[in-house]
Amino acid sequence: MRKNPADREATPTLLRQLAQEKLIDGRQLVDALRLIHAHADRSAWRAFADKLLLGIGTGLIVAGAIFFFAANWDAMGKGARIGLASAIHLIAAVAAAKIGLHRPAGRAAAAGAALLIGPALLTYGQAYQTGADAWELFAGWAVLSVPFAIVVRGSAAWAVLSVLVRIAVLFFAEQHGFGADGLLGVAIAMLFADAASYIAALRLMRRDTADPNNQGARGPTLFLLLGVVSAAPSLFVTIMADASVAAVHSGVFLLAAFIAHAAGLVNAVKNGRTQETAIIGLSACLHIGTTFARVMLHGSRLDGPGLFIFGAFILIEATVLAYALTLSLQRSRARQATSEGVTP
Amino acid sequence: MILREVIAAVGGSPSVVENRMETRWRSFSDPHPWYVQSAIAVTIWVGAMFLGGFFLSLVRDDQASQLALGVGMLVAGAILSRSTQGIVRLHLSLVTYAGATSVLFFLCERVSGLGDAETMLLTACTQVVCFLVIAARPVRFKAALGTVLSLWGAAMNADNRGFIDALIVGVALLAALAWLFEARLSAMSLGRSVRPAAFALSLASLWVSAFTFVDLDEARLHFPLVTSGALAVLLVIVALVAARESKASFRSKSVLLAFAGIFGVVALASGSPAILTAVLIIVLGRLRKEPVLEILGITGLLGFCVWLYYGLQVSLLWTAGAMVLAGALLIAARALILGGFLGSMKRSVSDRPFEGSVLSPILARAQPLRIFERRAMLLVPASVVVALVVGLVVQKEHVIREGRPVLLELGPRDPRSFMQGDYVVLRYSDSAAVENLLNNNEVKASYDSVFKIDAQGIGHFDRLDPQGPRSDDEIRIKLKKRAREVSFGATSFFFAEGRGTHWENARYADLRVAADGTTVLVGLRDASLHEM
Repeated sequence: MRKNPADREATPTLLRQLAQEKLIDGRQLVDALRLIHAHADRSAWRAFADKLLLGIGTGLIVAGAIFFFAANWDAMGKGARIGLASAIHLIAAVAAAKIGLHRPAGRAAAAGAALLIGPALLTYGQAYQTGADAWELFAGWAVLSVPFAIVVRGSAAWAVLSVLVRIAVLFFAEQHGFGADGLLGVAIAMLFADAASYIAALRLMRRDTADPNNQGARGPTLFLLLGVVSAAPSLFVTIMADASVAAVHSGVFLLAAFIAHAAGLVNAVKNGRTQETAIIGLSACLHIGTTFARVMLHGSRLDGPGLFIFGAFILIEATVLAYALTLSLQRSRARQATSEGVTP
Repeated sequence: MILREVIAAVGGSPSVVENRMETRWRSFSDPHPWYVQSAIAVTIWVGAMFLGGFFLSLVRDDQASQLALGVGMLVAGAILSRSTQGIVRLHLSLVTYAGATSVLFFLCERVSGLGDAETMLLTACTQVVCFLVIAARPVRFKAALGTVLSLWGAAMNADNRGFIDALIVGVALLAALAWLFEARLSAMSLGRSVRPAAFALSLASLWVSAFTFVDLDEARLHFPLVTSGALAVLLVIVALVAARESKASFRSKSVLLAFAGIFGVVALASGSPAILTAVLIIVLGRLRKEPVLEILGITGLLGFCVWLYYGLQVSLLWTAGAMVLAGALLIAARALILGGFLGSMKRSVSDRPFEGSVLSPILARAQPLRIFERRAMLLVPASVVVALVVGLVVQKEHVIREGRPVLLELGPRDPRSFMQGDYVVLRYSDSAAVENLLNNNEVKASYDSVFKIDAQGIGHFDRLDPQGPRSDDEIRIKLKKRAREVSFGATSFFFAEGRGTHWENARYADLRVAADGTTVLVGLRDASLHEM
């Protein structure tokens, strides 16, 4: 049974559509948007000040601490520097525990504590001249941040962890002089690491992800998104790499990518997770398109008919993606309707 | 809020709305979320570009056919895009856009003596035509963005003369007006194009102002202070509108603090209009509750600040001081606005970190832990970090105290590390000999190096040997392999910022070698073997 259309939730998009259909005029649209709080009121500005000032303030203090220790100020002894860096980290963690993770200030302090692991490790590296292998610093930092990401379970903590892992891998590849061939190996490892961490994140945070208002609900999705974004450079390498050098690796990489994406897409559609369907679907399109482009480019077949086939192929991909998204949306809405006791 | 109530509250007729929605339910069906729309749009866009490219490649050598095809596609697409819906409309519109590009190519080739600036102006005109005739929002976004970027290109190629300044202020002004009057404009006949244009103008505004940082004569501002002043005035006006719309008292401490912040930003960024543009976009984003705009502005602001910082060449210590001070001021301002440091209390399941996870049954059994659980969960990893650092320090101190001293000859270079500060790269003189041995496969890479120590305590590489030293004047040092390079200890030496010239004279690395062959670098020595 379809609901009465006027009994729907008034959204800004719907109201704008009514205005474009001349069912309400400009003045009424302004009032309606204000009524549904689509424009910022005092509470919105307050929330903005709360999050933005806290976020930028914490970020600046942490960055200031990193810059201070990077300066390697010789007026301070090495013991004092390591002690100070460790103490700041510990103070941030204690402050977070004291304030509580239910408050924004507590979560910011906890994220700060995770970020301040870096200065503690870098002062040790400076004091004992352990070498400038940046990847070791970031890898250690990432590993030690994992418990913080699990405990804090905010999207920011997951984003920090994800960025640290990727920086560590990139520095590792750079410092070990990996060429296109080696980078593909790294890309395969990253793909599986992403898939594993995503599954782990979903398992650990299944209650959070069920509640969209929860701070940590977007954490795993964010992790997935960063994974897809960071896969793009390795895909570029896949296209451009010399066919004779990278043929085996790129074949293995793309096959692994197909399997991972197919499994992810089926799982996301089946569970009605639309956001994930969109991300994994786009990533799948990127991977399949890359394979196609690689075949066409190395076979020098990117002429008129080649362009047509490629264009048509991408449109087929888009149609499949649109179908998967529609299916996912239907399942998501059906699930929501069932939980609200309404027949869709 | 329910639509019926909203319509009634603003003086509209719910029954008329209901009837129209019943008869045209398909066009009023729930729109897909933004990520669904984006996912479909991106793939379709790429497909349409390639299909458009295919059509153009068919008539590449025949200009008359090119023009006919271009105009035909433009007209057909314009008509069809208005009579279709959804994905079909989007696809047709994008193919039409390719038709417009074809017309542009034809014009550029046929009109002789066309300079770069004129070509850019022609491109801008084509974009305006696309904006007006093609009824799909993504195309209108692209066309509006393309118009501004083409005008920017024209300004750069027309000896500038202040055009860039005018463009930055003009685009920012248009973006601000579009967002301030977005609701009223949306109700007009071209209402569907307001939001795409507003988004495009905001992005273009950031793009154009970003180039003021680049060392490019054509993009340089002629009147930087006037441009910044105009943007500052615009920012203040938008802030005043925001205060009025949210019905805040102009004398309240929050509003006064916000204006103090704006004046602070204006004073600090008076010579960098890009930063003012980014702040303007953030404020507009919040004013209209558009998260995409906010993220765009914040990303721009962070990028511009980093760019500005690298241009200033300030010492790390001063930067650290300024950052900590600025961060503390922002947190203090937040406390002042919210009436306390802690801010709003928002309960979430994060309060009990492992609730709902695989660990929850264990924690449920350990009831006495529950009160302590939250604090303990955070303090454990923090304590592990500190314990780890202490452990590493103890281990290194042990090697320094008990290890055998040896000096190895080197040839330094001096880069700066990301995060870790200034350092010299240490390249050990004997590394080349070991690398040769390994590259020629004469020995196994798992062997340790053996050095002979002379009377001055300087080590000289002797051989790679699995059995280690065979006499007292020999010492075993483990090899460190990094790509194709080999070293015998730390590959860098960190020093205080700005002391690079002091360490240029380093000739020997002062190492302490543990019994297992691992080394700790304790300092550098000059050619006379004096500690530096």
